Amino acid sequence: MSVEPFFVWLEASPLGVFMKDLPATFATVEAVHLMALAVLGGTVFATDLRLMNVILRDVPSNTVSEQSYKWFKGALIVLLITGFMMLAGVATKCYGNPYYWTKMYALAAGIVFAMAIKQPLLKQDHATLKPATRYLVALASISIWFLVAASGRWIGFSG
Amino acid sequence: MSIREKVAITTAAAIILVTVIYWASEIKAVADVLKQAYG
Amino acid sequence: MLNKLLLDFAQWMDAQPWSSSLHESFYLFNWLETTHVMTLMLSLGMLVVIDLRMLGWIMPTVPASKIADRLFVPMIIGFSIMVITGVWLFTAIPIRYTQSIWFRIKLILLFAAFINAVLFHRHLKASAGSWDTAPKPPKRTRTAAALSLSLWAGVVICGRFIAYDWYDCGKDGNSAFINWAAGCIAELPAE
Repeated sequence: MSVEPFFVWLEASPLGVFMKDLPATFATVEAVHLMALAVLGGTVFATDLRLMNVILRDVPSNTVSEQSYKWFKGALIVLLITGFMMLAGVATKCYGNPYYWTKMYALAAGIVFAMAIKQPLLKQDHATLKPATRYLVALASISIWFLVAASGRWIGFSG
Repeated sequence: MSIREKVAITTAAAIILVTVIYWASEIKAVADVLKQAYG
Repeated sequence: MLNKLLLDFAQWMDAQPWSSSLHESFYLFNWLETTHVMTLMLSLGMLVVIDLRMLGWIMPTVPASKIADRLFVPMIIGFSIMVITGVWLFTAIPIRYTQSIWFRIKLILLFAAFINAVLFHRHLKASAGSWDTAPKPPKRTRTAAALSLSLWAGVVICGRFIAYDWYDCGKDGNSAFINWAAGCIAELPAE
């Protein structure tokens, strides 16, 4: 089943028209996307570098991850909204761009991993987790978000 | 180790493996293009 | 005048072979740009966490100075990469950046953010003991943090807008102010 009709519809929708109307609109939405990316990056690095014992070593790991998580979720919501808005402006181009699909698959993996696997695991006392667990989970988290960001940027270079 | 921890390790390892393979293939593709262009 | 000096420098750099080869190399230039944008996740990411603590909005049980102290090194590493990649990017298209109103505003905001950070750092050292463990720091601290976040938001917005040609030199519709502010010497009345 092809999803192409959805992309065609989205680009022609009122949102798509709005995003295409003035160049400043798309640019501003994208700038907000980048600022939310900074917040997401901050929470991911704070949590994951703490899990790997690289930074904030004298702050309880549980505190860092728990406190970062609410900002992570907030940033993710802003990223999803601004991302969807930008998609509407260039939907059919994205449909044909392999980097867009890489980003979407990586994004799906990132969200599922962060919310369904990592977060429930980190609720328990981190001291009870094996060091290997903490390192692998932190590394996977950094890897996947890096891939999301990098492929996201490359969408722009291959349109 | 709890089930939860085992699942986390397995999925984390899978994610790392897939991203490493992805970057390796991207680097190879770029290397091929550069080899073509510069011999 | 300063604009002429800047343009002369940019034109000299633009004529250098290493400038054009960087600009023309699809992979090197684009990976440089990608690194510059993605590294903001580290540099601005750490800064955001510090500023959020200064606003009392994250990790309120952890002393504010401890957060600032522990995240300082990764933040500086991030900013170093931003500066290196930023300067390197400039060398690829020096004339365009020199005459870009958005690039100029970005540098001014960067400078302002830097001054704000230095002043704040001094303030932090001087009074850390008194409000350090308070979940919500005093007004002066919160104002500095809010100013920091606003200035950096401005830097990101201007950085993004550089790519657009709305106010490029030579565009009709550009006001005399734009021509002066962006150093569009060719469009300014001869001195």
